[in-house]
Amino acid sequence: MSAGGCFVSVGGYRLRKIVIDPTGLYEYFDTPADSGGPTGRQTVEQAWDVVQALLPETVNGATLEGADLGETCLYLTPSRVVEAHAQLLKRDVSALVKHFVDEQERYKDLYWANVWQEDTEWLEQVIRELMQFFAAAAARGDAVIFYVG
Amino acid sequence: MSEGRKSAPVAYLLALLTGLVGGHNFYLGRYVAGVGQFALTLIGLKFAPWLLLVELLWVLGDVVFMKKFLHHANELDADGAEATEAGGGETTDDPAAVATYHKHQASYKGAYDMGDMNGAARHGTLALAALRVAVKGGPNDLLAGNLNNMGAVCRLLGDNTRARAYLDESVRMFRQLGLKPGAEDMASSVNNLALTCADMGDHAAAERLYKQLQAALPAGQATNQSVRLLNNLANLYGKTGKPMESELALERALVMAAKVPDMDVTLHTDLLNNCASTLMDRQAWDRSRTLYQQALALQERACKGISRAAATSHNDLGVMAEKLGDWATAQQHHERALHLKQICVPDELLVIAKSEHSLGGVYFARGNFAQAAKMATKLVATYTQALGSTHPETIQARTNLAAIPHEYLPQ
Repeated sequence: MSAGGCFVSVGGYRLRKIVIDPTGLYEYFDTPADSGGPTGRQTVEQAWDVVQALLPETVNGATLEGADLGETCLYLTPSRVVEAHAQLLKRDVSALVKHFVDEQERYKDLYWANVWQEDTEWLEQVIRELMQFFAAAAARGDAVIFYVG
Repeated sequence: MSEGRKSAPVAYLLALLTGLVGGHNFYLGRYVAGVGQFALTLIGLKFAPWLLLVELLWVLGDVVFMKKFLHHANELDADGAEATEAGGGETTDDPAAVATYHKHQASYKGAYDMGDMNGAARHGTLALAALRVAVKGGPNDLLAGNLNNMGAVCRLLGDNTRARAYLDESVRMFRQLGLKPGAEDMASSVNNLALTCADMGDHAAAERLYKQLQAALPAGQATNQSVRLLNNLANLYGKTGKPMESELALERALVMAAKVPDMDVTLHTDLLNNCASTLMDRQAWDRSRTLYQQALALQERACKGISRAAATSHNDLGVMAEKLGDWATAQQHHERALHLKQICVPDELLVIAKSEHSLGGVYFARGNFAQAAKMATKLVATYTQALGSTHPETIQARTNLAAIPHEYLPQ
């Protein structure tokens, strides 16, 4: 089974608890929002490596030490989420994807890069959904956790 | 309806007289344990007398942990039923108000535990309104306690006028209920009221309240309360231009803190930070640094160092390094302080702005103009969001940004 990437938004004040004790996050992620669980979630599936390369602002966070979610797990504080959202607003998604397709050699080592270079429609959709996810998280003052598991 | 607080003497007496049939456990609401002991005794008497020995050990174990069971039983009682009792044991006939109180009180606790003071104030206000209805205005010890909590939250949010109103009412209500300032619940109210008075510049009232508290506490006994009192008195002396008295009170508090068996970690950290800050003011760098590092070590053990108190230590260590011209160390500490504030108090923008300001200054001093420009831009955004674009702080932040060479400014 191949690894998938996911962004999860949590209340700004919830982050401290998670950073202090990040164990049991899978269970926490299943908690409904009205019971204190995550406020939003956005999967990027196998495009996690491509997303990190094309939109580094979305993963410009600190490593979540001790999390049992997989090899990559990091968090963005609410301030970082607001910054990421501001940077994402300046992005031209179509131009970004076109650049990704045109620069095949540059991105060839990214996980499943060739797949997304062929299915640009899907990649564009993922990026647009991720931008909406960050817009909503920034508006709520949320923190964001990103993991590949 | 509440069954009232569980009494320790009754629980111990029941354990002594009826322990083998679980009498004390039934009294404490530990029904499963009670039924288990009752059944074990019956089986022991009929089939296996050696089981009575096991039973005896069980009861002895209960006696050892009795304090914990009592605390738990009374805590549950407080959370689950006290709202239905008004002062003097009168009960409410408004179950809807009780239910509303519990709902908002749970949300208040959740927000408070996470450090979300705005959320705590929002839910606490609603809980308080429902509780007033439930207990018909009081006087009532739970209501007085909630008023104290709300006062403390408002004070932390900087709304001292509201804080003082809540705390005045809380102290007045505790007095009506016959409590003395030294009683734990009331001491907390008096202490918070004194802190608020001091914040508002009413130093005479603050000192009067601290003296009341001092007179009510057992002399010479090292407790969290007595340490807190000395720590707060020291702050008051500091504010009223009595540095010697302040330092003396802090030193006494430090010695006392070392003797308190269950020393409150947050209080201990605050005390260490305050002492260190006083020492830093008179340039006793080494001792000051040692105390800050002790504060950080305490926080590291308690919560991996992810706390507002740890942010304070890092901030002050950063300031110290700046004064000593050690810019690399200053940068490390200010970066850590900013990160901790972003985690621990994400919506307290002015607290965050303070670190952004310090860090921007350090970057600038180190000639890292690109980072300084980034930080100055963030600071302008933070002040604009918190205070508006025409506030003097925002204007000053824009002026600072303009001082950075143009080529480094973010596009």
